[in-house]
Amino acid sequence: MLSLALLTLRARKGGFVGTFVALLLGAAVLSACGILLESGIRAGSSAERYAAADVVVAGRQEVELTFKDLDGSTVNESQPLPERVPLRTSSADRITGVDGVKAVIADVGAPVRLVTGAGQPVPGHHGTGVEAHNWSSLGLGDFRLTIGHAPRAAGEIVLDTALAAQTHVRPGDDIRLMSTSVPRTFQVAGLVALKDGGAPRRSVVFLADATLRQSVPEASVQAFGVLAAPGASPHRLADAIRSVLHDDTLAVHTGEGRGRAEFLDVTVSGSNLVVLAAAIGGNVLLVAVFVLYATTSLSIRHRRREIALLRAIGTTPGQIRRMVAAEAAATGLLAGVVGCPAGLLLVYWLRDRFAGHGIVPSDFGLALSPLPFLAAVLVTVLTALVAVLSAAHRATRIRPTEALGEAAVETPGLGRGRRITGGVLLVLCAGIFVTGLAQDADFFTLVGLANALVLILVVAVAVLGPLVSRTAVRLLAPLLNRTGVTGYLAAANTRANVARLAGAITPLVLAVSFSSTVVFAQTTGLRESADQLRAGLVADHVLTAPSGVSPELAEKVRDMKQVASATGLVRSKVVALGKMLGAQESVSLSAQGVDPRALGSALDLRPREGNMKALSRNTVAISTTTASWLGLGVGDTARLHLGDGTPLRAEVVAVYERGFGFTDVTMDHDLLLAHTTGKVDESVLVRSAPSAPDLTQALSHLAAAYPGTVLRDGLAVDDQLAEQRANAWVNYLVVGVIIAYTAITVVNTLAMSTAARRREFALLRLSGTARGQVVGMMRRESVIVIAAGVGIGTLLSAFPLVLVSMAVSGTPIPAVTGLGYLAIAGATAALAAAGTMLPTRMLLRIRPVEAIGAKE
Amino acid sequence: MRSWGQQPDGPADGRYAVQLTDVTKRYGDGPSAVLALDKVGAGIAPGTFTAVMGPSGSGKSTFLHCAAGLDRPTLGVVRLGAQDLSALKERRLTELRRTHIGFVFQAFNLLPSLTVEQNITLPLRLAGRQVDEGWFDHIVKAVDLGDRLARFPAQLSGGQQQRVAIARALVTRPEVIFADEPTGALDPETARDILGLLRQAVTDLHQTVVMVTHDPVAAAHTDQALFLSAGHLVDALAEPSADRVADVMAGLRRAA
Repeated sequence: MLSLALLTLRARKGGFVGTFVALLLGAAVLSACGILLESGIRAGSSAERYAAADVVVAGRQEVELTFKDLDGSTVNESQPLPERVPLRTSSADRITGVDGVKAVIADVGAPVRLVTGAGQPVPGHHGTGVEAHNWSSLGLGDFRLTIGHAPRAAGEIVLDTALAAQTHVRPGDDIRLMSTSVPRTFQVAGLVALKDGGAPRRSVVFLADATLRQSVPEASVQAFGVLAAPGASPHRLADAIRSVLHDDTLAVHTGEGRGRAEFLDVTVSGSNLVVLAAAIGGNVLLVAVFVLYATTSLSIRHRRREIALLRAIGTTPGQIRRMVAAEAAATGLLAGVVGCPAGLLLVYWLRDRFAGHGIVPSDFGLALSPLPFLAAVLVTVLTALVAVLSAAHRATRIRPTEALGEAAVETPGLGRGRRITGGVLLVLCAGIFVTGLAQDADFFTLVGLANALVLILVVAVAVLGPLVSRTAVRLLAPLLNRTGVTGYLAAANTRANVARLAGAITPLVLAVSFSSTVVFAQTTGLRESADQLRAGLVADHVLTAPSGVSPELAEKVRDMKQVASATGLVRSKVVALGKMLGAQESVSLSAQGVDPRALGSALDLRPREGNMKALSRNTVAISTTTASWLGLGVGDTARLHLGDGTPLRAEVVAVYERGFGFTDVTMDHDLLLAHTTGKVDESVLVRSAPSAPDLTQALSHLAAAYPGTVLRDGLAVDDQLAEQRANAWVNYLVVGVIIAYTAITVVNTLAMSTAARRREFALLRLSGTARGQVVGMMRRESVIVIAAGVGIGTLLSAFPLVLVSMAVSGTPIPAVTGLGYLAIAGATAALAAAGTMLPTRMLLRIRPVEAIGAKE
Repeated sequence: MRSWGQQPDGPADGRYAVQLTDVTKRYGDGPSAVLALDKVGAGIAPGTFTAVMGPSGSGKSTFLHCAAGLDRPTLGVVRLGAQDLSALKERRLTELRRTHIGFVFQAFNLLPSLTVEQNITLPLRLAGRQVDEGWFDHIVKAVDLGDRLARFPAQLSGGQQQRVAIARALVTRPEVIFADEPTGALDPETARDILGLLRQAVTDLHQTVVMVTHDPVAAAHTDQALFLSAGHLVDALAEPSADRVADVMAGLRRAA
């Protein structure tokens, strides 16, 4: 059957264009997701400071949670940890005892801020911060002293050459270094550079070990570098160390893995990338199967007579199935092969966008191997097969006698089965709507519910299609009748072919309702977050710095007479076990640390229950969404893992409402700060005392001691929402691909059903209808299709959007931007018009006498 | 109930090529049901050319569908040779059609994506059988397509397309060839040409041909004509002439 399938493919290219383009898009997206997935898994830059160590022992940057699945089986799920997992110094002694270990060197370090003599903060390479490390860790890496000498005295510092060039300092010059306090001045003792002369990935300064402990008190052991005795294999050594340590909070790295220990940002964003790529790929795969089912069903329907003929002359249903499967596999293979280069372009574009949204570091490298491409081609072929085999039952059900008569006459009625199915689906939608309103769900779940709701609504419309289109025609046809003979013809056509019309309307409904739902659910969420941020921030002054604010600044501000309350605001993440729709899952929650005394005066999270001021080292407050997610209330004990993996059992003392704008979890400031890598605040919120004179002057004066700190009169909402915006952007991306798929369906459906009307057009023209009148007729028909499709699509998207808006903000009006809506509706209408009018014009170019005699 | 054609108790050599016994075909259920065939019995002797005739809606197409195993009768038995078609599952029935029955339809006979040669040999290819080169050359010469084997159907005239269809019907040496209005879309001259080919298939190649037609001139090429009206077999003519067939048809139309 393969050769027959190939011949059919060659002869009927037109019928396969829709399928091919859908598969091509799928292959491109899938190969891009595959590359992202592989890059995420293998994420890691080559080690620099650890390049000379044979084995590196560092904290394991993920926490594993064990819980029971719905079916009772035990599940282990890992969540990445955003903060550096601390190491115990005692581990060093145990490593030293392992056979084959020559030396163990502790790498002690912390992020710091450099300031030039003129008070200008120095940004690190790639926009990341600068790290300070102990001089003795130099031996673990590829850095070599190029000029000057090692830092010996307490006031001496060594910079990497790139950093020195950037700040124009030479040995002997002064530079200021700021850790968690005011800057201290150091004299540049020497410069180091990587052996290969390249600029280091992360800017680094070295201090003498004692100086580091003293001037950068928050510096901690980041890793133990192990130098192997001559002849010892690093891999065997690593295994030995693993068995001696026997600690699952530690990770033992060799080779490329050492880079993962050194560059945490790459490691963490790699984990995020894996999740993102899997989510995007999964979504796209689902939609691809859906769309391909539609395109293949359609092309089978248009090949009815051919298949019936094949059946009549002795092709078994099995052979028909194999033929369509072979066609699909061949199309899939070609699309897969052509799609891979497109995927390569796409993945580089995606990488840049991801970097732009801060999802990956700006120098994040992609791992390119043949594997994602092979997988993409394979999955594309499989997708095509799955879609075509589920559509093939249509083909095998075609009776051979259909070859003899005219094409099957459309049955106008709507069967009882379809009415019942449609009714059940509508009831199901109502159920989802009510459930969604009743639940205190988080935004992701809400978006998921809204998407499910709109998809089921679209399926219901598809099932009830003829009924829907007949109603639409009844409403719209009278308008057409007033536009002369072409309108009269168009009205008659639409009335006589409600099923064909329904087939054309459904993809438009899907396009408009689905994209509106996804886009405007995000804008509604963002609007609510912004509203909560503005309402919740009652502070009148905010001190902030791009690389963080020293925690002692908040203390100093609090001591000012004119200040009613002030708090440092620190952000991180915590991991917990949540329960969604009955199933347990590990969840990563955003967390903020604030001084409880400032709650209510500088920051109002609007507590619903409990007492926010009762926050302490062993209590937490959670948002209403988190409360329902974790199944906790005031008085319950929350079991959390802090950002660095430290387990915490804390009593819930309050449940607050402003979780969208702020964070899921709020904790005591000092508790959270102690478990971050940077040990700095994101900002300081200040509320001046009533009737106090303007604080601006005094605060500016105070901030001047901490270079880089700026004074604002409110939180920069855009910065606060950066992560949500990045999330929204990923959603828009998925929507974009889905819309592209829907566009394929729209154009394919309309073009094929228009092309099937060549005899009708010929007949019209032979009986005296002018070419322009046929165009006019088709234009009016497509107006009906577009008006009905866009209208119903808009109507359907209202339900999920009201659901999201009600659940998020309590008002039924979602944040719909006129321009966004116009873009969605306009693009859909333009596609539909093109899909109808271009084939019409092409058909009208054929001489009617030829067209009327032509075989199908 | 009278049976027409040769009596079902057997032709001279004891076997029919196709035999219908009490075949009833009903479409739909309840009050809107249509009785397309009502207890029709007929036997087609091997090596004959039979015309099945009748006015529109008389059931002649249904007769052909049931006789050829394209559709299953509601009641009654259809035998192809000794084989009871109703006893066969869809797959076996399809395979039987492929090897024992040839088809020529009014139009849309050929796959547009295949060349003339590929169209002719398609049933063999579907059955996974080798092409008998001698037989293939013989029938291609008989239908006079030798110089067009590499063409596609769209490059042929209507008459040429029907000749390809006849060649495809012959290629498996079937027991019966069914033709449904094979000349319905052709001009009289080409039609005569095609009917001559079918006649030749019977006379020279010893095939059995059953042809549905409403054209008395076409029926005149056959050995016998069966007449259907309102689902009943109502008349039969041996060695029909165009005039006699036209008379019977006129009578049937008046009665209808």
